[in-house]
Amino acid sequence: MRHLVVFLVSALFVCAPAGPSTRAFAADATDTKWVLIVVTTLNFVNRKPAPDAKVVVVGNAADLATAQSSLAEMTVTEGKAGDAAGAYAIFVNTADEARAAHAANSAILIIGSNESCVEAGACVLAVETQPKVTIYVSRAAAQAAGIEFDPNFKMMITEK
Amino acid sequence: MRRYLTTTACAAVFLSTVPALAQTVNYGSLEDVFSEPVTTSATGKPQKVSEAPVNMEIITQDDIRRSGADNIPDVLQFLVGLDFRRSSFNDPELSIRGYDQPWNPRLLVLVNGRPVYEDFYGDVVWAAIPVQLDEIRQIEVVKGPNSALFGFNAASGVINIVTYDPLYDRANAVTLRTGTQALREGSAVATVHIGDTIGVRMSAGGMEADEFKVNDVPAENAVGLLHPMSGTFNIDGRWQVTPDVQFSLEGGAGTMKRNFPADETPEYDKTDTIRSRLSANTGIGLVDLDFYRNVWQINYLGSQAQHATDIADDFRASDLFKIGLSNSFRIGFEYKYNEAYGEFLSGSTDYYSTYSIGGMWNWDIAPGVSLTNALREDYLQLGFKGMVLPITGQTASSYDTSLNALSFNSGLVYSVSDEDVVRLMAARGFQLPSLDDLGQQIPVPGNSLDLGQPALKPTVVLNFEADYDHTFTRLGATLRSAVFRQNNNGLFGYDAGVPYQLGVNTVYQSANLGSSDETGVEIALKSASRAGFRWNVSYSYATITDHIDSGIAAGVYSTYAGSTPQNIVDFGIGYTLDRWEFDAQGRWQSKFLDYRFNAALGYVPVTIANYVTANAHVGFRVTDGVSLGLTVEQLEAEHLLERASIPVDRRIIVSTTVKF
Repeated sequence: MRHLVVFLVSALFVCAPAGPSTRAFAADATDTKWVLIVVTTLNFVNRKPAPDAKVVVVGNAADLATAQSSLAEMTVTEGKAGDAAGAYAIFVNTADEARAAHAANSAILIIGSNESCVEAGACVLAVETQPKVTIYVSRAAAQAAGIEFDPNFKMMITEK
Repeated sequence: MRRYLTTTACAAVFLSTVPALAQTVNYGSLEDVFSEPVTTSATGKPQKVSEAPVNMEIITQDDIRRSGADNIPDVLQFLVGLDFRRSSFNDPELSIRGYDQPWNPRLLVLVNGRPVYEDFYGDVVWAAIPVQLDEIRQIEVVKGPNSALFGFNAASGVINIVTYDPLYDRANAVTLRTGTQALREGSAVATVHIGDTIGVRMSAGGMEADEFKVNDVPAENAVGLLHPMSGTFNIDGRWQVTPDVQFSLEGGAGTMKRNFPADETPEYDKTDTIRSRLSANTGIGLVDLDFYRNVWQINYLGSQAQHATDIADDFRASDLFKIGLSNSFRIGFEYKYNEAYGEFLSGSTDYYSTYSIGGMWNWDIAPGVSLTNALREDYLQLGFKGMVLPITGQTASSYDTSLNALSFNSGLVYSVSDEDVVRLMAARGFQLPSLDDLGQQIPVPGNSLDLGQPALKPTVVLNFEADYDHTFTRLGATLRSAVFRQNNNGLFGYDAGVPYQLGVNTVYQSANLGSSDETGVEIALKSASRAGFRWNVSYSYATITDHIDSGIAAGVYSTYAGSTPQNIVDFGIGYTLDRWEFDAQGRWQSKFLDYRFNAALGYVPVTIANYVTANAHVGFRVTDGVSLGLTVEQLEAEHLLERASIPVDRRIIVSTTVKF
């Protein structure tokens, strides 16, 4: 038993931790994990895009390469908020970009990387991955865009 | 990395397999989004397990594979707060936080929310549950009463076995096992999708083995032992009728033979089940209508050769909805009709109907703080059809009784910081007397009579608990701890009353026998590193004080303090190296008192000495779809007495799994 205790305590210090990586990625929209979680979140949106639908990434709001590979059926391009016309979804950095995107396309799914954009009623959806995954949805913005979410999913998110 | 790969895979099939709006919970996608297991077993609404207002453990498919076990109780046996003991090859017994009894009726076991215990005893016949290990997504273990959601028998806790979904998931696997005790075992799982709207998952499995050696067992307890076997089949289909409506239909069957030498009762059981479910996203919320029928045929083939058939029909309706931004509600209604007939009842039928209504309110008070309250009222009406034997001294009117039970669950979850979570909980649950407890009438040769007691009251379980979880982010480790105080009032037991004389017969009758208090502590530490190394260690302490009424016969059903091990330490270690997996799990537990039936002396106490036991598993992934496994159960001893029954023999299992 003593050997087991010594072994376990040693292991605490020897082995690499399984926790999150040390880089600060709270609200870091370029993080690969963040993009993948956002893409998976789209499964819970009622309105499905056409296979060749357009998705716009504003600035560094999302890692472009990851978005392109994980949304391979769609056309993912870098652009500006004003390019939202005709697009299915747009990744934005700020509430102002979100408002501009909505002005260009009132039905677009606007995705942000922090709670404040949803709190402002500008983004439909925001995902934070640290310290744990939290998803924010603006009821007003979703309603304005005609977007609904899976009813079970809605039970697990924070609505604003 | 595995999590990212899973997420990527999920993203890659985006839009191709997931219906527009899922009325049933899509565990896989939700888990991928929230990066932790998702459960509905706490409140009836989907939740991240870290936010559930109950003490819950989740066993994943990875855990199942790495255990190397070939049955569910063996998978769960090293979980903190669970007591495990095995009577014979095919008769493992699990209880939560002690109070173990033969045919433990305090534990509610579900498959995807459907109760799978046999209602005649309230017993879980693990080997006959029609589910294969390869089709299980996760096993959710709720410690403490949860009657406010699930009703009677969620008294000590709930185990919900969640399978892969026929519509959202693709589970295809074949597993073959062989090993000591001449084990021959196989299972197959296949999923078929028809377009994007229909999914069907089929599974079948069976095993056959030799019983453990009976050298040390008294002769009368080793007579007529059966050859352990089981066979199960299940088919589960789901149809996305419209974007807002899903219909599910499921049917299954199981059979098994097991020995229970402690009570001289080899047993051969069969079960059939059918379930249909309609789930709809409506203007008033997520509405779920659920009907199932469970049929059990219980055959005793030993010296007490008898049989009983139990048929339970259950209809449930619920509505889950949100009001405002931070309040979720669930209201529910349930009706159950349960009847049993056969030789246990001398050809008559006893039955009950229960009507239940309940509700749950989940309030997100502030970021990181939520309060959940659930309330449920059950009304039960007992009845009897046929002839009440005159020698029982009872009449049909003896069965014209009813009872009410009000249960609740309250839980406050407070995320004190990013690394600390506190849960405070209070719950009141019920253990319902079984139809056997209530209505059996069995004349036994030699002028004695086994008699039910229709006036039995259910056991009321009151539980107060405080939990504290801490994540050591830098170490990649988690600490989970719990302190609880539980009161069990109105305990009852089969044949627990002091025998009395009625005419020429000596009557053994079920009786309420008193109360019992338990205080317990659980501490668990676990870690898994990116380097592939994992370990866990846990300790549980439970002390029980019985308050047994005078006039009650001491014995297997009335001595809880002695029959629960006071100290249990579980430990495990594992390492993944490329295609190899190495895992070992073990347990030390202190002594406890068990009972063995003797026809002349009644229940004879037997002390089960403290012991250490350990299992080891090595897995090798030959290709992405093919894996081999070698498991040794009970490394430390060739024979181990886990209860007053057959000593458990060491097992060696070799397995091959092909996933496609």
